[in-house]
Amino acid sequence: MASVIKVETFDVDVTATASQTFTLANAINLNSAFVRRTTSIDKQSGPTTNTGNANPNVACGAAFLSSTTQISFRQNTTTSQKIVGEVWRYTGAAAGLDEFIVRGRYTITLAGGAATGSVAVSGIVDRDRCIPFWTGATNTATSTSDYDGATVSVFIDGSDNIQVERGGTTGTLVIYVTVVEFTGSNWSVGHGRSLAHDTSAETITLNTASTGIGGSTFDVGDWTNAMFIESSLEADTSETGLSDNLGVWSTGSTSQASFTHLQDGASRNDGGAYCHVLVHPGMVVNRANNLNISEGNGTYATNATWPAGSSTTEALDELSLEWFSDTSGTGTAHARGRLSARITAATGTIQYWVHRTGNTVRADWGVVELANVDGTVKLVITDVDTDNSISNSQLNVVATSPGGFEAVQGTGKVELVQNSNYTGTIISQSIDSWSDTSIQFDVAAGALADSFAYIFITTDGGAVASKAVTVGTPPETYQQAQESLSPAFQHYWTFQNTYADEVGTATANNGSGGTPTFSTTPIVRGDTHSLLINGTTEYISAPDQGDMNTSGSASRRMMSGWIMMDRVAQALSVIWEEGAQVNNYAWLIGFGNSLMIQFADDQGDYVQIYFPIKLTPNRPYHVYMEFNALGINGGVCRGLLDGVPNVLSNGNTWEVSTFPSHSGNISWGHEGTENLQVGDSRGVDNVDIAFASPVACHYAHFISMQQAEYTTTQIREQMFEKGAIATVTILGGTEAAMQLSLDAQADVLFADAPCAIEVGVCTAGDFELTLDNITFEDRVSMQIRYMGSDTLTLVAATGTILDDIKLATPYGGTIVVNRPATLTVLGIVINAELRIYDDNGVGGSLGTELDGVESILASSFPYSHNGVANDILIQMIATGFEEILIPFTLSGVDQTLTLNPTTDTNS
Amino acid sequence: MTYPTDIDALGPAARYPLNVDANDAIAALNGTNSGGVFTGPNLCLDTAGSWTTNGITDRITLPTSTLINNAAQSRKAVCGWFSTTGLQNPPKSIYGEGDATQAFRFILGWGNSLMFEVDSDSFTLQIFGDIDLVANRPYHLAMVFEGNGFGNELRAYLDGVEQLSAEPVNRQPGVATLAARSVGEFGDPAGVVGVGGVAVIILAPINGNYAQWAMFDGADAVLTGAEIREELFEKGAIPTVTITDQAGLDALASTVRVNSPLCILVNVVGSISLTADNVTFDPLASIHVQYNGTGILTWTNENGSNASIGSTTSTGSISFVNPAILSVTGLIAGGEFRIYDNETVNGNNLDTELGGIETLPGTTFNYAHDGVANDVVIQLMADGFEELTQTITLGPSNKTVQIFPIAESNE
Repeated sequence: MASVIKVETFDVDVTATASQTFTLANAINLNSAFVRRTTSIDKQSGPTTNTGNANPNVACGAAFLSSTTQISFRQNTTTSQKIVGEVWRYTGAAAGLDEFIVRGRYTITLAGGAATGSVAVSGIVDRDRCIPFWTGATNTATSTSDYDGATVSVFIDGSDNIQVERGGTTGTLVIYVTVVEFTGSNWSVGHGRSLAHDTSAETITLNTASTGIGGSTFDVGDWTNAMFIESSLEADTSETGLSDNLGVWSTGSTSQASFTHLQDGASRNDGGAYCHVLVHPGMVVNRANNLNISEGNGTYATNATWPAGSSTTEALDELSLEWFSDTSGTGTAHARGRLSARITAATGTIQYWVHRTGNTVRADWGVVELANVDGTVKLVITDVDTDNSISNSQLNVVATSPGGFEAVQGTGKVELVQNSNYTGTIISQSIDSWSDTSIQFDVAAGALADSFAYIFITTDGGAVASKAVTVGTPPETYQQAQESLSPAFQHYWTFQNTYADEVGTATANNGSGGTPTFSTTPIVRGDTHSLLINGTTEYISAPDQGDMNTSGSASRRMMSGWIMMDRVAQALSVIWEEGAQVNNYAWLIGFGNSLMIQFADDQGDYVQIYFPIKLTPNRPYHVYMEFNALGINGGVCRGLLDGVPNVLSNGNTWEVSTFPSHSGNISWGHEGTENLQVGDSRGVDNVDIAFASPVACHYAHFISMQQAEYTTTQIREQMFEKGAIATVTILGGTEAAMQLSLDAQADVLFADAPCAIEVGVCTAGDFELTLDNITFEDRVSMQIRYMGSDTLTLVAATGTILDDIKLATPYGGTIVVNRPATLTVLGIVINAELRIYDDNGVGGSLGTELDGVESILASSFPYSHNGVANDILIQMIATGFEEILIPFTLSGVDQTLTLNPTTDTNS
Repeated sequence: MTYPTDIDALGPAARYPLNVDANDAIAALNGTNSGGVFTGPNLCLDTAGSWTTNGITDRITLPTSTLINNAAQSRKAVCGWFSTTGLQNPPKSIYGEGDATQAFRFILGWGNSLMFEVDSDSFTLQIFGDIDLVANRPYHLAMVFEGNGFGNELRAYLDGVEQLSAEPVNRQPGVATLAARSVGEFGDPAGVVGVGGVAVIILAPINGNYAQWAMFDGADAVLTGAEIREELFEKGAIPTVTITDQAGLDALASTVRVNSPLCILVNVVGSISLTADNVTFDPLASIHVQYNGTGILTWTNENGSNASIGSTTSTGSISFVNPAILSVTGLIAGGEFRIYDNETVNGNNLDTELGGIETLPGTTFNYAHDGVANDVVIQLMADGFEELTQTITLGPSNKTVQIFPIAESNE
């Protein structure tokens, strides 16, 4: 089916103040079409006839639909100015699933001296589903220092009014806004507001309310189904430079977005920034960016790259462009940095133009594919087998949905597909049962065994949905496992011979003058290196980050990573810190390798988290820190060691709603120029301590995320269990070969380690291994890790002690433990008949015969069983003796029973 | 004898009761109190009150003395009672001598983790407490230094139990003496101090309570583990409750005795037998039962009671008995039932009769025993049923055995 959303782009050099129009190739219904600008956030571009500094009156211009065939333009002068954008039109049925309705086109005039204005919108049904498209403005200001009056924020308030606000007040600004309500049930709309981005980027939580700050948290589910369809920024109250009034929104976790205008660190913006996010299960968005994109100079530049994964075969009118541009520089050489762009060829051409070259320009863009926005029901698959991980031949897998599978299967089907765009290998799955909310099926992985693939579900009505799944045991690296965590984190330092931030821009460096090195001793499974701090003055550090230490509004924060001490650190040492002196997060070690996490806010609160053990030297640990402010998760800050939550803290819970900005010192080891305060500043119990760096500490795979956190299950299974290095590995192979390998560990007491034994994948699928007198120190965090997705039965034989909570299956497998035991029956009469019966739940009854012998030649009889508690009966019949019938309860330990035969005096 | 005289019998160079002032009870090496108050709770026997640091700058400064700090010492010991009212956020100094490079110090931090540290030019020795100190619970701390002319080791004790987790592991100074140090201070050190070789500022505990701290020098400082446990700890521990008879113990039935230095004192001169009814103890309690008499205390743990850590402060002794019950069910009312010790090796003999009844009033028989592992033989004789014997192994846990008598078919 074709998309019911069609897109037509325009690129017009406007030379008239009010009379110029553009004729659309396809007629539209004014209630079902709107203009959106694909330029910088201030909707400005600049003259086409020169490349000199442009005043606001020749950089501002507006576009709006004025008839069923025309776009009209407005500007303040006749100077030719380029205006670029898209027209979206809805072609589907009234009240369709993908419908949007235009609620009105409005102008709001801000006269000189006025900073704010508003206008009421009529006809809105649900304001939270409305998006105010700012399609430009006219401006009378004639100074390049008046751009603070040319850039406005636009949102819909709680009373259905469009609200606009600018920083400066010079010039008369006429603002054009089209309000569109996305009424179709396939659409979801979220909004975000950033207020605290003056000196650092801010990560905000998306919300359902039109204001961006109310309602409930809005989760896009998957950013590949979501686009920033509109955004705006209130200019700074005084700064008028290039970077002060431009900005970029970017994706965060599935419920977050980040805003920054700091392509120039000296830029300032104290206004409000808004974003509006449109989500559709059938929409596909692939993104790219360029932090130093080449520009033209009053001309088109080299085309922007086509994002990886984007289709090159879809129709041009079913593609849209998500677009942001920003620039360095705080001077007034406007209109640098304002790139106007559109897709001009569906095969992969994004054309963009700029009035004037100069400075370092950043562009972020996404290609939005609308082909599958076709008016049909769009499914959302909640999960597959609860963890989106299936084995190669798993039976009875259940896929769930909030609803939409339809009650009857009909022509519906479930398929395992190699690629997300329904290409490559496609394998039909055998369906057991089908309902509107769940489908049970049996997996046939075929050529997709041990891979990452997609479950596609097609309903009888033709609706299609897909879900990424792990099939079998794919060759996943630990880094891949971490990068697949949801929500996505913002910074990731693997420390694999590099200081690089693999996700964000917080690449670290050696600022200590010491000699931190990359050791070739790995501390995480599959690694080759670890960062080694081996001197009391050594450290490495990362630059300040808006989503780490310089945010003043963080209510949630996590940091995690692997560490290993080479020995007991005698000095009080900093493992990792962020901030300095009075405001900081810090991981501190001392008192015999006791690890302590502190959250220190000079004016707000102070919390310490403790762990119940002292870290064992030369033994890697996974550490997870989580900050929760008042109102978030009960305000309880927490720490986990090897995925196990701490049990003791002091000062918990957090008593204020945020954690303050704490710039400086994102460092591994202690950045020694400043002491670190320990203790609660609000009382009389604190001191600045000249901490040392740990001697010696290894580091790997540090992760930072703000305004979100991970579940205990994610931390234990994804972060810890997948990364723990095993003391012994039983390589995958045949069951016999693996048993032989495990037999070599008989009688071994495994020492303290994150993981004692790793068991690979058996060629047989389900398999059984017997452990012969294998035991583990209490501090072993994971006794057995099974890497497969089938069922491993462990037989804990001959003194083997297994702790069920320390048996791990991070790749979807199952471990079943049998704890066999032997009942030895003594005092048997030679040549007697001995029988052992299950009482089948009825005391004293001779139920199922479990074992026995017709004529025994020994006075003892060993009966081996699986160790499960069970009531049995032992029967002995011997000539010359009375019959014996003794009930007995089996247990998981070896037992003995002595018979006392009585001579049959009546025989 | 009182607890102070028990301490003095070990020959301390100085002893600071710290309950009314900072004075030395031995040699007039009187300390100077700055900020603290003598209004703290009782921490140990025969000592009413304690010194409290209720501010982070509170301290008692000891005079310089060759017996304590102002001389190279080949042997040195310091011990005393301490408690704190909460988790300490910044690191705290309980007691210390020395500065940034030379130290003999008890330190608390990171969740009330305890650290004993002795530093000199050539070594930094640290011993770490096995447990973290619990608020409002008195502890006895002791540290003994011996240079390589003697034991060549540093030892530390918590409630008389030696703490062995250390860095370096061997705890050996490797030199003859501990160099002279600046004066001893309870609470806040006046200047920076060395912790693990790094100069830091640490504070007085909030709130720290102190009593009966003693300084030992020379041969007297070589305190044995038994002296520290029995003389310095056990004889000073304040009981949570004192009983004198069975009624007193019965009043504690079905209670969990809290974490404390000493849970129950049996204050009886002669021998006595007591039976505890479901009296259990916090795993971190240091002494479960203390007996100050001269006879034998026979303590029977009934109904889940689990006393096991005993202490005697006189010439008496304690015998812990852990009885259990064998319940035999499925018996024939009116039958005869016997339990015999299986004293021979073949498991088929009716030896010493341990219990039984001529005529069973019902179908169950309970046999209480002392919980010691033992094989017994049970015997049932009842009209209309074949005689039944069965061997059962007794142990410290209660056990129920159901039997199924077989009707005599030859009658």
